[in-house]
Amino acid sequence: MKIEQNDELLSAVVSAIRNVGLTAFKKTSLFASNERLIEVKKAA
Amino acid sequence: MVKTYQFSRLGAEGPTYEDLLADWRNQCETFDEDFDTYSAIPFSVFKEIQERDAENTGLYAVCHDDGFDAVCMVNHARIPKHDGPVLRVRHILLSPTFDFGELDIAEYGGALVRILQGALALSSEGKLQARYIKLHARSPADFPFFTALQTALDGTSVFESVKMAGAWLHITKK
Repeated sequence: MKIEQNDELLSAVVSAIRNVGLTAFKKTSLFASNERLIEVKKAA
Repeated sequence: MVKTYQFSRLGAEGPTYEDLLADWRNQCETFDEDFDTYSAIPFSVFKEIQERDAENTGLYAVCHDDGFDAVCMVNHARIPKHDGPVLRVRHILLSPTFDFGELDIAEYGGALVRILQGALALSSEGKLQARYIKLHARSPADFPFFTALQTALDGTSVFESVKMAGAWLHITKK
């Protein structure tokens, strides 16, 4: 299904990312490279 | 040129899981990253979901003419403490371009919003209709962002309420 841009939702989500900071956001499980790092730490 | 985005179930009738793997392998190569190492852990989960391919559970992706931006699992079920079915969105994963690239915050926000809008659209018609949508936070590292997301989304006119409960972001539609 086609997705139309919802500016209100975009503004809210961008605000949430800004509030935690891009660095903290990129440490979430939304990014596969971080999951890999977590597993490496567990194995160590 | 403005991109046109789709939220599509991966399978026989549209883009396939193999299409997504091929695109993300190419994206990894653009950043000199090894796709097999990058993808081993989350993709073992996706492979299992794809092979199960139940009517109420499937893999969905945000895609456009140039490839795939995100993938997630969508499950539709009746669960305790809800007066109707719930659409659960789990294992959200953004593409290698979002992972390894240094993009503008609006681009990251846009990818998440498209997942959210995809879930909203799915929950509004057909067999996956639901008044409640839940997003899963997989890791403790997700909680600060999900908490911020709750605050930001709860103030919009789109939803009746947005609350964190345990590892889930509970969204009630209007």
